[in-house]
Order: sequence, then C-alpha cells, then structure tokens
Amino acid sequence: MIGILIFLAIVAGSIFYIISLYNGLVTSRNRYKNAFSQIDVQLKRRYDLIPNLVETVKGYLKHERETLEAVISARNTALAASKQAAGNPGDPKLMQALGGAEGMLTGALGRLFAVAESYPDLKANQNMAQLQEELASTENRVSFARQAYNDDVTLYNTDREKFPATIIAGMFNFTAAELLESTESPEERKAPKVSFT
Amino acid sequence: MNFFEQQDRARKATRRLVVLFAIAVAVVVFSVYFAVRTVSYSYNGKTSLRSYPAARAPFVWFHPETFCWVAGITVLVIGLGALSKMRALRQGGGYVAEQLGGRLVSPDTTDRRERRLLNVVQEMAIASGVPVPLVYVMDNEEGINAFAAGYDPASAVVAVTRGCLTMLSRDELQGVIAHEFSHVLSGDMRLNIRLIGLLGGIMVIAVIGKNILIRSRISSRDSVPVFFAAMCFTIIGYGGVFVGRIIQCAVSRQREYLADGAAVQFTRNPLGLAGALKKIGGFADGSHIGSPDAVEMCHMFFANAMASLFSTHPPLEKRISLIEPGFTGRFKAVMQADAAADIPDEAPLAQAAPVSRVAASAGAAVASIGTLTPELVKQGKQMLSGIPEKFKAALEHPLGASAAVCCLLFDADPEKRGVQIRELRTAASQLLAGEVMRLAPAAAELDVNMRLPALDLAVPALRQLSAQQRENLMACVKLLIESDRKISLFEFCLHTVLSRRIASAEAPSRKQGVKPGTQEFYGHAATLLSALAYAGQSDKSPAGKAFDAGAASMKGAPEVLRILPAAELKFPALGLALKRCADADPGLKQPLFEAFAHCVLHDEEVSVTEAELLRAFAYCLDLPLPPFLPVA
Repeated sequence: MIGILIFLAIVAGSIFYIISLYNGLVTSRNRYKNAFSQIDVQLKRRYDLIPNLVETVKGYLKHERETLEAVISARNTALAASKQAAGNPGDPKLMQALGGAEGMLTGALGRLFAVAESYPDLKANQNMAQLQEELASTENRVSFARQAYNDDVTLYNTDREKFPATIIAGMFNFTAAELLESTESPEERKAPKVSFT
Repeated sequence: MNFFEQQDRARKATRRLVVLFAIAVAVVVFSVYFAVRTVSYSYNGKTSLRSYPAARAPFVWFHPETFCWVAGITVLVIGLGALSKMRALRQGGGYVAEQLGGRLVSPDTTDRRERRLLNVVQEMAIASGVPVPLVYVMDNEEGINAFAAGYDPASAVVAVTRGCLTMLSRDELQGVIAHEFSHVLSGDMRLNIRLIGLLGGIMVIAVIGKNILIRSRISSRDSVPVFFAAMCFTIIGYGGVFVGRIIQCAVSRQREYLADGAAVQFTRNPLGLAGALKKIGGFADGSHIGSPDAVEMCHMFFANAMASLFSTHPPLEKRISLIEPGFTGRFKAVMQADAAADIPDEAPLAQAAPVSRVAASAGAAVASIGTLTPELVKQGKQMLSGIPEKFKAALEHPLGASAAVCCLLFDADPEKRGVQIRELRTAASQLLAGEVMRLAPAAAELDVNMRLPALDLAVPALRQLSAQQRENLMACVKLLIESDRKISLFEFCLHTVLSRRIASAEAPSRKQGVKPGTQEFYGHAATLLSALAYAGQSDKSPAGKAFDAGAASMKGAPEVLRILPAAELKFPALGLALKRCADADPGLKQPLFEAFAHCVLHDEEVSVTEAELLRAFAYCLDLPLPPFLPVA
C-alpha cells in the first residue's frame, strides 16, 4: 500500500517536473517573441518616416529618380518582410529575409543621403535635417532592440539545448530560433552624416 | 486604514484563503469518492474492477481502501494542477495579461486612444509614487472591463479591454484606472494571483473529465462505463469550479466596494467611475470577457466578467448608488457609435511655482503613503508637463530610458561631468554612449526634484531590457556613481531603487526580510537612521539631534539605538540594511519609516533635498510615497 503511494508520488513528481520544463521553454520563447515586437515598433517608425523623407527631397532631386525609387521599393519590401516576420518571429527564413530587406533599405538610404550632400539647398532645408536626425535616432533604437532580441534568442536556444529540456523541446516542437543579424557595415551606419566625396 | 495595515490585512486574508481551499479540496475529494463508489457498486457484477468480499454485498458507504486511493489520487491531481499553475504565474502580471489575450502597449505608441490611456496611468503613478506599471490592452474583448495583476506595486501590470479604450471618456477611464490603482496599493493583487493558482488546481479535474469525454467516442463494449466515468469527472470537476466560484465571491465582493470608495477618494470625481459603471450597464456586451481562461480570473476584474449564479462583483446598481446617491437605477442604452467621439487634446497645465521649503509632520507623511488625492493627481500632471519634451520622449523606449538613467547621475560640476562622460565611453556600448550624449543637454534642464519621477516614468521601458542589457546598465550606473570617488547618499539610493525596479518582475521567492524587534533589525535601523541624520545635518540641527528624534519615535528599545560614528558608515552595510528591511513584512516598515520621517522633519527647516532623500529611502523600501509631502 505504502509502496504504491510512493510510486504514485514519484509519478506525480515527474509529471510536475515535465510540466515545469515545458513552461520554462514557453516562457523563454515568449520572451524573445516579445523582444521581437519591440524591434517591430521601431521598424514601423522607420518605415513611416521614409514617405516624409521622399516628399521632402522630391522637389530638390528632380534628376535622381532612380535613387528615390530604390528607396521607395526597398522600404516597401522591408515593410512586407517585417509583417511576415512579426507573424512568426524567430523563424530562420523570415528572419534572414528581414535582415536582407533591412540591409537593402539601409543601403538605399545611404546612397540617397550621399547624393543629397551635393545639393546645398537641400542640405539647408530644416525639414531634411530633422528627418535625417530622426532616422538616425530610429536606427539606433532598432539596433538596441535587436541586441535585446538576440540576447533573448540566445537564451532560448540555450534553454532548448540543455538536457533534459531538449527532450521536451523535441516532443513539443520547440524549434530553434534565428538571430537577427546586423546587416549594416560600419560605413553604412554612418551614411546619414558622412560625405562620400 | 493606512497602507501598512491594508497590506497586512491582505496577507492575512491570503492565509484564510488556504483554509477555504483546503475545505474545497475536501469537498471535491468526497464527491469524487461517492461517484467512484456508486459506479463501482453498480459494476459489482463485473469483478474485474475491484475485489469485493462477496457479490451484491450491502452498499457500504465507507470503504477504506477505495477511499484512500481516491483521496490520494484526487489530492495529487489537484496539487499538481495548482502547483503547475502557481509555477507559471511566477512570471508575474504580464503572464496573466497575456493568457487573457493582452497585448503590451508600447510606451511610445502613436495611437491616440492608447496614448490617452498611458497618460492617465502615468499621472496616477507619478502622483502616488508607484513606478509606472506596464499597460496591456485585450484587443479581442469588446466588453468594458479592466484588471491589475502582479505581486507588488513595483512590478504591477494594468490591463484594459478594447471596449474601455473605445467607449469611455477620459474621466471615466481615470475612474477605472483609479479603481485598479487602489487594488495595486492595497495588496489585493498578490491575494488575487494566489487565488488563480489555487483555482487552477480545483478545476483541473473538470479539464481531465472533458478530455476523456472527447476521446471516448471509440465504440467498444467498455465505452459506456468509460463515458459514464468521464461524465462523472466532468460534473464533479465543475463541482470544483462551483466551489471555486464561491471562494472567489467570498474574497472579491467586499474588496470591490472598498476599491470603488478608494477610487472616488483618489479622483474626487464620482461621475467618472459612475459613468463607467453606467456605460457597462447600458452596453449590450457589458463587461463580458470572452476568453476561456477568464473563468479562473473572474475575481480580478473591474466588473462581472461572466454571468453565473455566484457573481464575483456586487450588482452594478448598488455600486453606482453608493457613489452617486441620486441614481435612478435605469441604464441608458449605449451603442458603439455614440462612444466613438473624437478625443479632445488635454490642454497642458500651467507650471506650479517651484517649492523651496516644505513643512510637514511625520505623521502626515506616514499617512500619505499609498494614498492619492485629486490635488496630487493634478500635481502629477503638472510634473509631467514640466519634464523637457525631448527627455520625456526618450523615456519611452529602452535605449532612451537607459540613457536617461545615466544622465540622471551626471554631476553638476562640469569638470566632474567630463570625467564621468569619458569613463562612460569606455564602459558603455557605442549605442548607449551616443544616446547619452544626445540626451545630455535636455537632461541638464531637468529640475532636481524630478529625478525620482523620471525614474518612475522610465520603468516600463527599462523592463523591456534583456538580461545582459540590464547588467550593462547597472555597471554603467555604478561607474558613474563611483567616478568622483565620492558617493552621495542620494546616488546610492538611486542605484538601489533602480536595481530593485528593473529586476525581473517574477514572484518574490521566499525571501524573508529582517524580523521586527530583533537585534538585527535595530542594528539596521541604527545604520539607516544615522545615514539619514548625517545627510541632513546643518549647523542649526546637528546629526545627533535628528537621530534622537527618529529613534525616540520608534517603540521598542530606543535606549539601545545610538548614532553610529560617521566613519563607520559604509555603503555595503547600508545596502544590506536597505535590502533586509525592504524584504520584511509591511508591519515592520511603518515604525521604521516613521522614524525616518521624524528624523528628517523634526526641525521646521526641511530643504527640498532632504525631502527627496526621505522619498528615496521610501522608494528603497518599496513604499509608495507621493512626491509632495502634505503641507502642515
């Protein structure tokens, strides 16, 4: 009788342990997903600033249509990629797509600002200066949020690979999450301010 | 009843809860036992189930072996369910909000309704000295309802439904938030979250029954008894739910009246709260919550989340008539379209004249903890409008908030500041250092008394930092403090408050603070009181006098308390004293804080710096002290 009760207690204890492992993985996963939504908020800010920027420079840069169009299309691609990624943060393909699209956008913006350097009227425009400042600030926020996201993803992946949590992870389909890599080279990061002459 | 007594009462109620829960478990065990007994007796013919002495023996109610088995398994199952739920709840209020479909409102949101909600919450938080709670919106809920969750005021979370956002005016929203703040300040939240854990245990049997029911569709010779057993489990399980509901009622009804009263006291605007309640009465969806998990959390909401025999909240009419005596009892039907009125912009309030001296009594200071008045809320609004725009905008996102915190520690002396900046550049990441430089000019305009409110405002964004980012920030803060080789008491308090506030919002583990009346307690009290006395000393009021004033107010063994020599006061000891006292029971904190208040306020010459120091000490002890001491 006692033996059976002890056995039951052990079974119950094991079930409880398994449940807490599972919950621990769920917590880790939710943490990085929340961290991604922080990136998303700042990305949206960035995407919202760009139409203003295009409007401001359109009048001055009449002969730089290609540059402008590159910015607009890069922005739209990145916006679409971010919406997809928000649906399933951490998914390798979506994260890589987002990283790539963001890199393209940063590159296109960098080229636009480099071109704008040769137009003194544009440089003197108040609106332009303010927009450049806000864009730079937003990019900083994106980087900071990305740091936090990557920290949380690393934590989750570690939790997932530890033993015995890894068994539970396999059973309940906790897939590995992907980091969001920085696609900005040091020159590109300084693009809004540096002159390419 | 003051803050400390309320917190104590809430803790005692939690203990009574456990007794109620034990009774509920006993009821469930007996129901399961009787069901099993009945079922097994009916199948007495098929001896495969149990070994009975003889076929068709007379029905014996009590069968020890069966009873032990049933009791053992049932208690085990309930225990498992409750423990798992409580383990999951340790993640804090955010977990509860997300279970109910809540989405975190970003502090730098541009949606006008969310912005309005954040402003209302911020004003109230600053006015009461509570760090700004994280705010969640339940997008899928059209009814008008709200709740507050968390383990203590420093890690609270407030959630409202979509219905609240779209249908309530600013005054009504303020009434609802004030009601929730009263739960935050009174210790109800901890009680409520514990209750969810316990209810999770009782209801797990119903869930099991439901699962068996769904899976017993296989047709076999034995499917009928299995089906029957599953039905029994479901019914008994919901018997558990029924009992759970009674517990919820017992706990929450009285508290809802109290919270309504407190809300009116905070805003002195009964129309706001009454308006919200009337809209619930007149709205088709009322305060209904559709999420299935809401069953365990009914007691936490602002109004009845689901219809049931036992409602967790007093009737709407009664609540309204208590705050608005002329209420006729008839609700005007409210349609979605009416409520979608344009949101007028709040005109910024005129800046209040800066206060250079405060005159207050220690008793009044103690009484003001954990309370709010409309004047304070108004002053909270003024404080908010007094913060430079750029600085306020920075507080809304994690990078800016981290930079803002660093800026708060900048020295007034430009040379020392230069040293700090140089050291920061080596320690902080490029991103953080850059942001600090950008923010420094705006931070320089910040008034000295705004440092603690700024910290309050920064908390929601800071809570979104990853663990490594938090560590880096604390390292930078330490660097900034120690850069001039002199640590001021205020800086030290800022550091303590910051590390407590941005620590994860998880449930406090069984940490026991110092016990009242012990040698250790008096040791810590002497340390803290000495530090406070030295910090506020001047020619006219030497430290010894201040210390004695404080020590005299502490009932216990004041003769034992002697001021410590200044050389003996070391920051590690101070930190330990603060931590031990902060983790202690609220009952211990009242006499301690009274002593602090007497020490600082004993002479009529209370400078703003001293008042800030008192407030900083209160923050270190997790006491919500409003920013303005009541004028004597």
